[in-house]
Amino acid sequence: MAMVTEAQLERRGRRMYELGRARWASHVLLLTLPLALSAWALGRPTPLVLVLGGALCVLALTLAFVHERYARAVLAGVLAGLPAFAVPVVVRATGSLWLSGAAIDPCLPASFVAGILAGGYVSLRALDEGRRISFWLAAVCVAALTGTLGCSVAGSAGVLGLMAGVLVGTAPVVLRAEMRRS
Amino acid sequence: MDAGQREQLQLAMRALAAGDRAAFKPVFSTLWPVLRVFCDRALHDSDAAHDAAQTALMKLFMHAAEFRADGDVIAWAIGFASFECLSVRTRKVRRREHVDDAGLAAVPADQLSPEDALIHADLRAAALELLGSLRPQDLEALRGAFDGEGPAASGPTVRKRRQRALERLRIAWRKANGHGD
Repeated sequence: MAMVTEAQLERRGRRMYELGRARWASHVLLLTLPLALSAWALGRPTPLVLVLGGALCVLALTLAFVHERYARAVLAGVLAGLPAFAVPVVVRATGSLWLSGAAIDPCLPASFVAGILAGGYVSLRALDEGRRISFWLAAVCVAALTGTLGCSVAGSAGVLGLMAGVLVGTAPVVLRAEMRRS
Repeated sequence: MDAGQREQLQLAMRALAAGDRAAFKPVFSTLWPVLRVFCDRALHDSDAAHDAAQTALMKLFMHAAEFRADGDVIAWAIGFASFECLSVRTRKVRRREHVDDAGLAAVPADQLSPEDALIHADLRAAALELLGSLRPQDLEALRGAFDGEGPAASGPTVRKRRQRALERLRIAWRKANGHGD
């Protein structure tokens, strides 16, 4: 090996460190790739799975690469998004709900409820972190993409229902934390 | 390295493992000299030690994200360096095993092989170190014996003195090397 200066060695060390982090971060793909594949197996349209699944994988990989805190946010986001991913698919299979003679798509309320669960879970996890807002944002983005893979069964209304649910689920946790602080 | 520095390094390594890039510089500047010294001592070859320390440091950074927060960073780094030093030694031994006949024929018959020369140099250095630990009277007696002083200087007193000096030299050699051969 050729003799190198300390500055060259430091630069090489930094490159190796970033490579190592990328390798370590790639573990999150073990979580997100099966999700995208199962969405495809459940009959979600291929272009949608490619776009949303691809975005989910890239986002998760980037977040885990940046910091361990965001790797935890990815895990929390995927877990939080799982009900939103699975419930609409299951509910859709049961058919339409009839309320006062009118047919209602059950996916809308299911997405909303799954969103509340996701928002609540992510907010609770964020309370344990040092940088709560960035953790919450990262986890919510991952949860939204995970959930959208499933709840877009109900179209854009399902996605909006999920996001509304996330906000509704987050609000009480934030309020409680603020009240404790004051 | 004192306890405070060690604690600082431990904190910096934990931060780096988590993804704080700002902790890279302190980890690098503290660990690099430690690995250099360790490899120098293990290999007794400055160039090989430099290479081994470099490789160990690169591997350490490659695996930095896997560092466990409850682990000791110095022990962890020395683990990488030990592995590299062992690899260098193994490579050296293998290279020696694969010296072909042409290589052996190139060594003049009346000249020591590089390996024998190295052994002689080591023995000479060890002997000089031991002689330095003897008393001046013993050294004088031994020099007389090695210089082959004439019969005038070989009375019973002188012989006895040389015998004692040689005995002390033998004891010192045993102490340093564990055997008298």
